[in-house]
Amino acid sequence: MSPELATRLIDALGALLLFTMILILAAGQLYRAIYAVAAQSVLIALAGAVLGATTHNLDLWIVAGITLLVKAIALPWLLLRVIRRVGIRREIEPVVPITATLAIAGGIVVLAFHLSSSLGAVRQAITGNALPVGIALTLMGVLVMMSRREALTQMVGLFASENGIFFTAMAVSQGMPLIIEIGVVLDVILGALVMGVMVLRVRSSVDADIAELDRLRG
Amino acid sequence: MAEGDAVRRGLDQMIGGLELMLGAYAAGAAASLLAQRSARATRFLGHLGLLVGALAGVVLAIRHLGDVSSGPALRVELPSLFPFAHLSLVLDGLGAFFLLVVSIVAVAAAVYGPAYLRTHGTGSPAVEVLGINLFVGSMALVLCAGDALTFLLAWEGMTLASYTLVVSEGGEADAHAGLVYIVMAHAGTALLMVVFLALAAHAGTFDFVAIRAAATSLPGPERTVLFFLALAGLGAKAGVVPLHVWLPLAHPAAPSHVSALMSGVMLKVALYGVLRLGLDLLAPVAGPLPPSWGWTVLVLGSTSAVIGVLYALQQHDLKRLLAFHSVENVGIILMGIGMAMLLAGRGGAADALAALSLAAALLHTLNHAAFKGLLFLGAGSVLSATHLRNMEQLGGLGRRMPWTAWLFLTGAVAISALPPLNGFVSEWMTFQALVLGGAQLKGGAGLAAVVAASALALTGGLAAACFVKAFGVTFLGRPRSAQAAEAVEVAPSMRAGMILLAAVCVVVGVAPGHVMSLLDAPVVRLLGGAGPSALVTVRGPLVLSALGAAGAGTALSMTAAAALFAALALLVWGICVWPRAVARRLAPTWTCGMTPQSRFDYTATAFAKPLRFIFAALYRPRREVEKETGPTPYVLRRLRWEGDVVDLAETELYQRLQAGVMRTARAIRSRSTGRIHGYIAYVLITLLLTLLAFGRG
Amino acid sequence: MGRATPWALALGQMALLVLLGPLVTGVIQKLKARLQCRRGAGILQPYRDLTKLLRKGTVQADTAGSFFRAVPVAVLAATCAAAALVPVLFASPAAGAASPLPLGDAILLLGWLALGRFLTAVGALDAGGAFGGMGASREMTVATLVEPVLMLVVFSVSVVAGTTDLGAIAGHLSLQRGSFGAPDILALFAMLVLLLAETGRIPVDNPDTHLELTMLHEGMLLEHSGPGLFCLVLAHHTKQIVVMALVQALFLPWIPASTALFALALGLGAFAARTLVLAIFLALVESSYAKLRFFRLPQFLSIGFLSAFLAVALRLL
Repeated sequence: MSPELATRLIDALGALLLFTMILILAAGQLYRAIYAVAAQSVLIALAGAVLGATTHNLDLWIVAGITLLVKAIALPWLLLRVIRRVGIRREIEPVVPITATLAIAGGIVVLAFHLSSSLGAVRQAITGNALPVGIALTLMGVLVMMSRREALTQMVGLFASENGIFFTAMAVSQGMPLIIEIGVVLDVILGALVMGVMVLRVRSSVDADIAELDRLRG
Repeated sequence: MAEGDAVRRGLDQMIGGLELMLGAYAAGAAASLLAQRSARATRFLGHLGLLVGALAGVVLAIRHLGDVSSGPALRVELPSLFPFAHLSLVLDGLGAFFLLVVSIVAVAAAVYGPAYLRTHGTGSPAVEVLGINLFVGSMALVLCAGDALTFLLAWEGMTLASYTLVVSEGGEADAHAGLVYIVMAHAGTALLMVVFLALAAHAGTFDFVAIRAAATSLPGPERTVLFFLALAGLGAKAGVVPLHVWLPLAHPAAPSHVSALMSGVMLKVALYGVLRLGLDLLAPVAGPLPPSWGWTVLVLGSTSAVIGVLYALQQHDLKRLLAFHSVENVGIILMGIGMAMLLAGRGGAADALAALSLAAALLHTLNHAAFKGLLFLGAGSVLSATHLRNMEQLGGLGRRMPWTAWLFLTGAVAISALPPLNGFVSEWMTFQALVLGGAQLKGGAGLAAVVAASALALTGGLAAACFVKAFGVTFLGRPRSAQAAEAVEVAPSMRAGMILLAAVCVVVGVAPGHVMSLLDAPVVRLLGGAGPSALVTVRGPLVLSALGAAGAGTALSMTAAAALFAALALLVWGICVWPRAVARRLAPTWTCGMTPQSRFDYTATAFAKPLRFIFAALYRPRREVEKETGPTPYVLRRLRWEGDVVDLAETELYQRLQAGVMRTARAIRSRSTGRIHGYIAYVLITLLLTLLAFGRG
Repeated sequence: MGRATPWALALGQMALLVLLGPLVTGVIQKLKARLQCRRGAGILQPYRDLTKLLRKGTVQADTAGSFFRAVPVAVLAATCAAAALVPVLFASPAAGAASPLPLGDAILLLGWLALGRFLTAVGALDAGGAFGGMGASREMTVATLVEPVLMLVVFSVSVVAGTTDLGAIAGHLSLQRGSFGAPDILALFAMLVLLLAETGRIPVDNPDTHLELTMLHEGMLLEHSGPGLFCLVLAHHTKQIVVMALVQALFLPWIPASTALFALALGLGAFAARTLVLAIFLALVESSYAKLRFFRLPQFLSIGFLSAFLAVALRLL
C-alpha cells in the first residue's frame, strides 16, 4: 500500500472515529453507546491493519486482530448481556447536560490540534492527522467518564479512551511494543469484568448510579 | 483659474448647504416660542424646520459623497467662543455618509411627527419641537466636528436633548428610564473626555488634524489603552452588551418618531466615533492595527448580537422588543468593523477584504437605520391607534390598519435578513467578509471568524422567529381587547413617513450596486486603496462580488434574483390563484368545534416558550404557578401563572454595583457629623496635605 | 451558444426540479411502505393529490385577510427561485459566478428557503387558532437551531473552494476527483442530520400525520385549501429535492461540464442515482426511528453542529 493512500485512509478513519465519539457523547440510550464504541473499535482495527500493511509490521496486525476480537465483539457482547440481565433501558440524565458536554468536546478538539502543532516534531508524516485526533479521542473518553452516572457508560468511556491511546501511539511510533498493548487490553478486560460483576450483584438499585457511591472517603 | 473658481464655488455651495441645514434646525427650535399661541402651529413649523434641515443634509451629504476626488474635505471655521480653542467644522467622507443616514431618518420622522403628536402626544409642544430640533442638530454637529471640543459639546447636547424627549411624556417609569439613560450616557462621556483630553494634551491643541499627526508618535500600549477607553465610552452610548441596560428603558419611553431617531441614528453616531477613533485618529499610519483591537470589537459584536436578539424574543412590549433588536444590529455592525480592523493593512487580498468588511458594516448602518426607523414608526402608529403597547392585548390589526400592517411586514422581512430586501444584502456581505477573511487568517483565528459567521446566522434565525411573533400576534388573528377591535388606520402623513423608509429598504435591497458608490468616500478615507464600488461591483452596478484570495470569488445579482422572484410570483398567481378567485368560501377557523374566540389564538408568551426553554441557562426564567383546588385535588377552581425574564446584566451586574455604591455612600455618610466645624476641619486638612505634596519643587 | 441559452438551461433545471419533487416523495413513501410490509400507494400518488387540490375550491377562515391569500404564492415563488440556484445536470453558468447576471449562491438559496418558512409561519398565524400558532412557533424554533449548522457546513466547503457559489463549488470538486477528505466526511454527516431537519422527516417531524402535537410543518398548512394548499405542498416537495440537490452539490458532485445532449443525459442519470441513494437513506431512517420529543431536538441537532464545527476545525487547523 502506498504511503499517500495510507495517509488518506487514516485521515478518513480519523474523521469517522471523531463521529463515533460524538455519537457516544450524545447517546441517549445505553445500547447506542455500546454499538458506537464497537464500531469505533472496528475502525481502530482497520487503522492498525492499514498501517501494518504499509510498514509490514507484524505486531500491528496482531494488535488489530486482538482489538477486533476483544473490543469490537467480546466486550460489547458482555456489556449487552449485563444490560439484558439487569434490565436497564434508559440512561438517566447525565451529570453535565448533553449540550454542554458537546460544547466541551468541541473545545477539546481545538485544544488537541493546538497541542499537536507544538508537538510537531514527534509526528510521523505517514499517519497524517492521527496525533491530534488520538489526543482528542483520549480526552473525550475521559469526558464521557466524567459526565455520566451509569457505571456501564463509564466503561464505554474507558474503551473509547483506550482506542484513543492506541491511535495516538500509532501516530507517534508504529504502535506501542506488543507486550504493552496486550497488557493494556488485559487491564481493560479486567475492568469490564469487575464492573459487570458489580452491576449484576448490586441488587438494591436497578441501575448503578455512580454519583451516589461516595462512602469511600476519610 | 477657472478650476479654482469652480472648486471655490463648489465649496461655497457646500458651505451654503451646511449653513442652510444648521439654520433650518435652529429655526425649527425657535418655533417652540410660539407654544403659548397655538400648539398646532408650533408642531407644524417645528417639524417643517426639521424637514428642511434634514433635506438639506441629504443633499449636502450626497453631493459630498458623489465626488471622492473633490480635494480636501470641506472645512468651516467657527467663531471662537473659548480663548483656548479654535472650533471648526469639517465634513469628510465618513462624516458625510453618517450625515446621510441621520438625515434620511430625520426626514421620515419630520413627516411623521405632527400627526403622531396630535393623536398621542402627552407632553408640551414646546419641549417636543425644541427637543427634536436640538437633538438632530447636535447629531449633525457631532458628525461635522473638526476638533475635539466641538465633538464633545455637540455630544453632550445630543444627550441632553434626547433626555428631555425621553422624559417629555411624563410618568414615573419615564423618569426612571431617563435617569438611567443620563447616568450611563454621562459615564460614557466622561471616558470620552479623558481620551480626548489625553490626545489634546499630547498634540497641544484640540484640532483633529493636529491630533492625528501627533498620535502617530504615541507608544503602542498607550494607544491601545486610549482605544479601549474610547470603546468603553462609545459602547455605552451605542448599546454594546453589557453596557446596554439603558436602551430598553429609554427607547420605549420617548415618543415613537424620537425612538426611531434614537435607535436608528443616535447609536450610529456612537459607531461613527468608534470608526473615527479606531481607524482614523488612533490608527498607525501604515501596517496593520494591533490584533487585540479587532478581536475585542469582533467578540463584543458577536456577544451583543446574540444576547440582544435572545432578550428581544422574550419581550411583549413592542417598543422594548425593537430596542433590544437595536442592540443586536449594533453588534452585527461591530462584527464587520472588527473584521475590517483585523484585516486592514496586511497587504494584498487582506486589504480588499478589509474594505469589503467595512463596506458591509457601513451598509448595515444605513440599512438598520431604514428598517429600524420603519419599525418604530409602525409601532408608533399602532400606539397612536390603540394606545396600547403590549402585544398580548392587540391582535387583528391587519384588517383594520392594512397600510401599517404591510409596511410593518416589510420592515420585519428586512430586519430578519431575508431576500430580496436590504437586510439580506448587508448580511451577505458580512458573511463573505467573515468567511473569506477567515480563510485568509488561517488557523485558530480563521476558525474563530467562521464561528462568528455561524453566530451571525443564529441571530438571523432568532430575529426571524422574533418578528413572526411580533407581527403575527400584533396584526393577525382576532383582536384581544376593545381598543384593538376599534383601531383605525393612521393619518396619511404618518403613512408617508413609513412609506419613505420602506422605499429605501426595497431600493437598497433590489439595486444595492448603485448604493455602493456612496460607500466609496468613507471606506477610502479610512482604509485607503480601492473603494467598494471598484471592489464589490466589478462587473457593473447590478452585480455584487466578493473576491477571495486565489482569485475565486462569489458574485450575486440581487436585481436578477428579485426579478426572478417577482416573475415566478406573477406566474404562480396567474395559474393557480386568479382563475379561481370567485370560488372562495368563508368559514370560521377550526377550533375543535368550539366557537372561535380571541383566547384561542396563540399568545406571544406561548410562541416564545420553546426558545425560552432551550436557552434557559441564559435566561434563568422565573415561573410561579398558584393553584386553587376544590373539594378534591382534581377539581381546579383557579390557576394563576406568573413568569418573566429579566435582563441578567441588570440583576447580576448593575444591581450589585448599585448596592455596592450605596453601601459605600452610607458608610461615608455615617462619618459626617453635620456640624460645620467638622467640614471646615476637612477643608483645612486637605489644604495642608495638598501644599505639602505639591508645594516642593 | 447564444446569450439567452444559459438562462434557458438554468430555468429548465429549475423546472426539472419542480417537476421531479413529488416523484421523490412518492418513491420515499413507497420505500417506507415496503419496509413496513405494506403495499403502499403508487409512486405517482403525490401528482394525483396535487391535481386534485388544484381542482378544488378554497375555504378560508373569516379572520384571515390579504396576508393569508398572498402567502402561498410568495412561498412557492421563493422555493422555485431557490431551485434555480442549485446545479443539477451541470454547473449552471447562468446562476454561476461567471455569468453576466448571476442568480445567486448558497447563502441566497438558504435565504430564499428561510423567506418561505417565514411567510408560511405568518400565514399560519393569520387564520388564528392554536394549531397554526403552535406549528409556527415550533417550526421557527427548529429553523433557528438549523440555520447556524447549515451555514457552518457551507462554510466548511467554501473555505477551501474560496467561493460560496454552488456551481463553482461543484465544478471545483468535480475536477479534483479524489478530494473527498476527512473534513468532508464530518461535514457530510452533519448535512445528513440537517437533511432530516430541513425535509421535516422523522426523527424531527412526522410528515404523515396531522395531529397537532406531532407536526411542525403540517400545523402551518392546516387552514389552507384548494389552490393555496397546492402551492404550499408543491413548495414542500420542491424544498425537499432542493436540499437533496444541495447535499449532492456540496459533497458528491461528479457533474459534467459541457452541455452536449449526451452529457446532459449522463448528468440526469447520475442525479437520479444519487437522489435514489438519499431517498433510500431517508426511508430507512424514517422506518427505524421514532420521532424525538420536541425538547430533545436541540441535542439531536447539536450532533450536527459539533460535526460541522469539527469539519471546519479540521480544515483550518
